[in-house]
Amino acid sequence: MNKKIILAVLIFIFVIFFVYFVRMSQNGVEVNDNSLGQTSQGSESLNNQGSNPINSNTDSTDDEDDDDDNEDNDNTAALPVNNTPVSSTSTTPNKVSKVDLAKHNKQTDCWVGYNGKVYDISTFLPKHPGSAGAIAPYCGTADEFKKAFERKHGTSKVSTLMKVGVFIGDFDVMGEIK
Amino acid sequence: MRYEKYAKTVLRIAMSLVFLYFGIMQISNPDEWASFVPESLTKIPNLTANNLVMFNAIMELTLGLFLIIGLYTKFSSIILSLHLFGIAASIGFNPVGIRDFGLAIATLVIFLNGADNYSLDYLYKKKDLVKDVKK
Repeated sequence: MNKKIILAVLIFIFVIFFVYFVRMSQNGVEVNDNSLGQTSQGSESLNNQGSNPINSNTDSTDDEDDDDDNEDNDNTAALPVNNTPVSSTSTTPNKVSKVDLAKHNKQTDCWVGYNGKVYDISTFLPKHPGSAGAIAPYCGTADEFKKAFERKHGTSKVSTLMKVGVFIGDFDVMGEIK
Repeated sequence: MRYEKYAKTVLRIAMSLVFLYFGIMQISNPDEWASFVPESLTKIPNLTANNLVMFNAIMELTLGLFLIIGLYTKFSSIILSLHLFGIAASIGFNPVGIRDFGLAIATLVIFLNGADNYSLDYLYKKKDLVKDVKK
């Protein structure tokens, strides 16, 4: 009887250590990914000055989509390090007005606003597990998208959104506190 | 039947692999599983969905390991079965909910069967009996 209890305790301790090491190793990988991402951002910004940041980020977006399959969970890695803000049609550099946002309301050209940031999720839309049609009505919106997003996912998928979406810039609404 | 004696063992090991698999998946991708946590539970202060997923993963891994070696078979299987019934009820009447309900029934069958001939419980029981006889 005593042997059984000892064995049970040992198994429990093994599980705790196993969970701890898995979590630690994942955190380590994420830290490395972040540092690599920041390095590549630095080199990209040097190499791609003046070019369209969205086009230059196509590859990195694909990588981020792959990451989404793994759904790693570090919220600190939330901001897409390779996503350079766009400034071509904005009112000020890195700012996206409500009018600009509303122009990107198609399934093939889908920008959404979330917590004061604007993301291009066009490439992710066909890969959305809940179908592209579930997001498409909210393309070009901020408040509506946020409500629908949080109604469906709560805040558990915020880091995923930030990874799969190409960061366009800050959402600029006159007189609204972000 | 020639292979009848293995039926209980096969069921026990197969079900324990299911729990171990889901336990490992929850550890590696807690975010993905956090959306399955009922909102009512996340309202408890200092208890995030991710923490609940991790707690659930530890429980499933521990009891899954108990089940695979046949340690406290009845205890592990009834806890896991009730847990799965709860999940099935919270998911509702859809393919995933029905699948979980089926798995819960299968785990309940392990509880009803008790320790099989190839479990540690049986081995310890046998040793205790031998000791008693010697006394």
